[in-house]
Amino acid sequence: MPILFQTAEVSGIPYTADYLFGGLAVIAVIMLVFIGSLYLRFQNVRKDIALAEQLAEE
Amino acid sequence: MTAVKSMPLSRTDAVAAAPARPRLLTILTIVTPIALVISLYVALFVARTEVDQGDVQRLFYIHLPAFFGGFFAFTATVVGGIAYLRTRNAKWDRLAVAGVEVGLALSLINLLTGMFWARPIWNTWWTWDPRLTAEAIMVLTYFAYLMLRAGIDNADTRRRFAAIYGVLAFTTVIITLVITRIRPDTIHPVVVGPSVQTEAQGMFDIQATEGVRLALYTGFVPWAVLIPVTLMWYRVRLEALAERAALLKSRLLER
Repeated sequence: MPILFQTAEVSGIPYTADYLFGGLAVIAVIMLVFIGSLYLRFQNVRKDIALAEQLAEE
Repeated sequence: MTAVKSMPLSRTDAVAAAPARPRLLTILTIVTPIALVISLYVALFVARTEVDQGDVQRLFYIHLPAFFGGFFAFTATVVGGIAYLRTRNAKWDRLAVAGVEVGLALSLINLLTGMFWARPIWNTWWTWDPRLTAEAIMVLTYFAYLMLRAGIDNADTRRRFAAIYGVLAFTTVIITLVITRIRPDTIHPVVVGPSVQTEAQGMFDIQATEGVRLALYTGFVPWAVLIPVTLMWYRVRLEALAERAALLKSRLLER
């Protein structure tokens, strides 16, 4: 049995894996939101630059 | 088809395209997720389970390195702030704001993983312990940096204000770092290094459980070094592009 799924009955170690998974989920959400925000801001700024250049040419 | 390929790019396309990504940044972009996966594997499957706390103790392998990643990023803000005040070169302001954003993300990871660990170990999600309170103040101080910065229109004023604020805000980072070593009444454990604590709860011996040191060192590589450097570099590039867009817009308005 993988060490992560040990139960109190099996090993005598307290079962706290649910909190571990909760913490990992929070980490994933924060990282994805930050990287996603960076990506979206890059896209928006590039669009702004393209539009400004286009207007400048006209 | 050949004719289309040989057509020169319009001015619009040339400007809209991002500046070429440095090779080192490309390498970092590849190496960072690999190091992250390796560190997670070691933390979850190589390190043995801590007998008193169970699997939730594995969050420690991210919790501590993430704090030092935030520390590293906030230090970059101080360096950027001081360098900007000395040189008035906008590139240092870009570094400073990148440090704050990345430092905040890593500090939030530190804070929230701490809460998930505290629930089964301290039997509460949150307590107004000196260490936790200090970190909450630190996070709020840097959130305020971003909000106040966004509220100043004049670029020179904004950069000057942000530089001074970023340097002064670092005091909250120092206090958060040392408070467990100067306040004996905190219950937050000090696992590495000397401590004056008398009431720590959830302490564990770093040498008692096999693989703890390895998992901790493996966690430091991505969380305290690679992730902050890579994300700050992208954030600096984004700020440079945003400044370029703002310049083009202001020129258009002047016409």
